[in-house]
Amino acid sequence: MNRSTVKVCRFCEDKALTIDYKDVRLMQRFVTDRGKIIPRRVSGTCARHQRTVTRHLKRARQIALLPFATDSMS
Amino acid sequence: MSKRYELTLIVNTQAPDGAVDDLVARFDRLVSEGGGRSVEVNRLGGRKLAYDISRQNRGDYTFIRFEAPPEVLPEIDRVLKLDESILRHMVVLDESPVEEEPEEVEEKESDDEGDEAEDAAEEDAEGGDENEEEA
Repeated sequence: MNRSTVKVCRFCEDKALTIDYKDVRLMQRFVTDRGKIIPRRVSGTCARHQRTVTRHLKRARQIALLPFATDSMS
Repeated sequence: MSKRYELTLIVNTQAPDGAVDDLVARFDRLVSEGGGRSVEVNRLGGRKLAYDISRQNRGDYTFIRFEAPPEVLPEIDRVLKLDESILRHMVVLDESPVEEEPEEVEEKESDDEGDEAEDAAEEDAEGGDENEEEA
C-alpha cells in the first residue's frame, strides 16, 4: 500500500516541539537543499502544522536566516 | 491595550562597538514612551546571512521581545528604517506561551463576565454529554 513508511506529523507527535522562525536547525528540515519548502505530502506534516511551518519559514527568509533560493545550501 | 511582539534586528557588522547596545537602549526608550516595555533582549551575535543585504554577507542578530500598544508600531518601524547601521528589522506578534503574569492574558481575552460565561458554557457542555449517554 505504501511505497514509503507512513509519516506522522512531528509536531503532533511531540507537543513540546515548538515551531520558531529563529530555530534555523529545525526550519532547515522543512526546506530542500535549494531552499524550497518541502510539501507536506513528503514531510508528513499535518495541515495545521504545515501552515505554521510555512509562516515561520517565510519569516526566516525575510531576516536572511534562510535563503529564498540558492544553488545549494551550506 | 498592549500586545506582545518580537523584534528582530540585523545590524551591520561594520558598525562601531556598542552600536547594538545603543540601538537596544534607544528602542527601550521608544517603547517606554509609547506606553510599552521591553521584556527580553536576546543577542544572537554575528551570523552569516543566507543572502546579501546591502552588499553585506554577515549580520549581527538581536531579538527583542516587548509589549506595546499596536499604535506605536508605525513609529518603531519609521525610526528603525532611518538608522543606516540596521540592515533589516522585522516585528512579528510573539505567540510563545506566557510564562509570567498569566493574569494579563485573561485581561486581553475577555473581562471577568466573559470568563464566567465561558466556564458556565463548559459545564453545560459536560452536562449535555452525560445526558446523552443516559438517554
